[in-house]
Amino acid sequence: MDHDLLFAAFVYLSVAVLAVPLASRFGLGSVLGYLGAGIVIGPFVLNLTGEAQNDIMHFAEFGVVMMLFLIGLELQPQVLWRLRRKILGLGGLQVTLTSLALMGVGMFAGLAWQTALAIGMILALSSTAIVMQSLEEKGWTRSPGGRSSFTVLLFQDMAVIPILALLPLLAMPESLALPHIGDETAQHGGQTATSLIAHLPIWAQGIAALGSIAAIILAGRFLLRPVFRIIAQHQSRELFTAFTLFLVVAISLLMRALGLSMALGTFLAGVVLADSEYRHELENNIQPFKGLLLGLFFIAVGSSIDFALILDSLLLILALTFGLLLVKLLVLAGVGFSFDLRGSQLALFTLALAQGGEFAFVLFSFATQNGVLGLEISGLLTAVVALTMLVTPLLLIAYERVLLPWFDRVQVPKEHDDIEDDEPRVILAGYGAFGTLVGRLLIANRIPTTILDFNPEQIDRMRVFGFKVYYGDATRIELLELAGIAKAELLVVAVGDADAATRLVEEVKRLHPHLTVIARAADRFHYRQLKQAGADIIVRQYLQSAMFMGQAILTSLGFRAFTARRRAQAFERHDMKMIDAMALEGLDDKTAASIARSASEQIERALHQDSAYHRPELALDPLESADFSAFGEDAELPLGLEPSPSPQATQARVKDSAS
Amino acid sequence: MESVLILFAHPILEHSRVHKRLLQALAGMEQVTLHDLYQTYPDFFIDVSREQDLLREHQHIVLQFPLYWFSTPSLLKEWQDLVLPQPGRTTQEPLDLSGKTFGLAVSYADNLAALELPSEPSAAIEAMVLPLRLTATRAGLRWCDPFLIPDASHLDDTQLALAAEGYRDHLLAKVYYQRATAGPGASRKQGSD
Repeated sequence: MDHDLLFAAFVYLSVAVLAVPLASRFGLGSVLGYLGAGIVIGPFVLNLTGEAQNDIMHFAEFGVVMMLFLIGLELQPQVLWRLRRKILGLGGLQVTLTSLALMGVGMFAGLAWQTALAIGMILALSSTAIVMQSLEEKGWTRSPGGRSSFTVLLFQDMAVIPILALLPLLAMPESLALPHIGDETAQHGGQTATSLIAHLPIWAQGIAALGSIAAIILAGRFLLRPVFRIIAQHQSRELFTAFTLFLVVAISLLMRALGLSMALGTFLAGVVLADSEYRHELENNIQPFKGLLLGLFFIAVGSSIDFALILDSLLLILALTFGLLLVKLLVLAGVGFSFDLRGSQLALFTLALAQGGEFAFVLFSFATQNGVLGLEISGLLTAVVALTMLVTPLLLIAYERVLLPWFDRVQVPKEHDDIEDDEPRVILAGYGAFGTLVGRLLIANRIPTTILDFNPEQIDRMRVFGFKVYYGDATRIELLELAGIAKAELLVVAVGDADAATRLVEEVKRLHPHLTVIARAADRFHYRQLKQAGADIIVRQYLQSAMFMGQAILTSLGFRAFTARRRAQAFERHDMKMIDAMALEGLDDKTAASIARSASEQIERALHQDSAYHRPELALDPLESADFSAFGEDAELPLGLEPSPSPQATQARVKDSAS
Repeated sequence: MESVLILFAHPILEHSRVHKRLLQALAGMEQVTLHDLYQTYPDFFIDVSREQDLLREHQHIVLQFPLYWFSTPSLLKEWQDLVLPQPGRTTQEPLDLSGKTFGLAVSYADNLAALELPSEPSAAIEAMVLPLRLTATRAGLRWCDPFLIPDASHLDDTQLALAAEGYRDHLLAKVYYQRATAGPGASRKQGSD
């Protein structure tokens, strides 16, 4: 069949649109939906993928690269550094032990030790794409089990590099199938003949690799921020998105040219940028691309499952799949246990990582080309890996539906999360002159606040003072979600654009009805809109400062300062009441104007009756009789004491004077 | 109408163990309205007509506060100055407080001996609350025995719990027994044990 690009896109998108909601509907998660969609359009059911399938697979693997960039963005360098022992210990132990265990099984089955070791190393890796996507969907990434899974995956991503270096050394002369090493495998983290530095001696390659990593870190720290700022100044979202994509692609190309893992390179870039003010906006921009490409990747995996081969040797493949899962489960359980994972979290960690990874596809073909594995074995094992990937979402469903309720009943002592989340209590959207003052007050009171603004110069200025200010269009709900609005207590809306502010309040109140929203109103019309949008507290931006100015004027004109202050306060209170009443009734302009007129008369009257001018000093004359003997002999009595009438009599006098 | 209005004045409640505990004791008391002045008027701008409405709606008025320089915290003083009816002043809606009772719930850090007041406890208390007593009777309110929490900074948890319980009983007694004050000498030290 002749497939052009549009047709292929049509096929992939349509199955994705059909299969994913269906799978989610039945609680199976999107990963399983994509895999199922892939199987359906694959050569064994509808056969719609055609020859382009491999290309699509390679293209889609870029989704994994983007995912690691995003994961990097979530991890500040300090956090990564704190995790170093866990990454090396937990990850190292898992990879080593699983490799050795699988190697043992392989040798027991009669394979040469080289072949068995190669298979062991390749199968020890798990699928970052499937695990992270599934955990994210369930919201388990921050649980101890999820964190541990992530550290292991991170180590595995790094382990790919030495494995690639080791594999050619394990070549069996008789199984060298192809004389030339193809460059097809270069797509995903592969160190191949296309590497620019392959001709250099090993030590020089090492220096080049380390140098490029250092370059990424340094560039991320010192070069990217100014570049981002220049781009942000254009206030063009497209430009920002384009540059973000450019960045990811460029780093990937650099890493590939050096024969390093693209995923690892972008991960590092992500970590370096995790500190920057552009973090949330970057996440926001890459997220949809990552989602689409990952979906594409899962579809490609589904469609690549070779059912003809599986049916040919059904029992063998099922036995191998089961065996692989079992070995990985046992090792993971042991490793997890020795790193203090218990109960449900240990189960999550174990079940999540039991599959083979997407690196396996690349490594199997690389191993075949290097004469490490025969075509037959690698074909068989590729099918096994695909099946284990298919099983993973099912295992996680079993965990959620069966194991988790069981563990909940058994009651597991709460495990301590070793990464504290820097979750803000307050999110401040809009950091202009107004927002700056609000933000400074919050920070002075040490309230964890995340500040979002769209003005790069402003951000820069505040960053100098050590504030956590992020670049981004604060009126977009996605950005607020990334900033952690779901867990914040309060959202402050101080963006300059009144309409955008109203829309934002509306949307936030719809999605998070329990979040308290404090909004700044530009004028009384805006006040009404915000009220109707559901803002909990509305502050009129000019009211207080105008009152202070009025107070200053009254004082300058000779009013006593306290009197001026009282007048301003009284005026402010009345005006607030009036605006509130008008906001609730939703009046047209004419009625509003007449209300405002009569209100101003009321205010005038109220000001002159302010009881602050009627202090009780002169009312001291008739005192209630009291027993002053308790004071003793030298006690002095207040002046003017004389027997006083009863309370009733006093009251009567008040009434007299009132009438 | 058998309801109690507590005018609570504490500028730094977050640092007050005693008053936090006393307020806890009020939880769930249907007949009691707690009115937290410092929470309502952080800028000291008292809404006089609202305050007078509150007085009209309740039968028993209790001022709850820590004793500062033998007097109330300043916002409560401002409240007295502006809200209580002033003889000789014409207002649109006269405030008639006759028949309502007026009581205090006062904590103070020292014990009586350290206050350099007359050594007899009842006389000392009498002296301490005299200005408030004069104010209340002058405004037409009926004076009630104050509820005192002496030595407030040294109470242990048990004593505090007892004081809180005593406070609750003290307020309930107002509602159910309509206890009126006897003569000035009848003030009793309450809640101090």
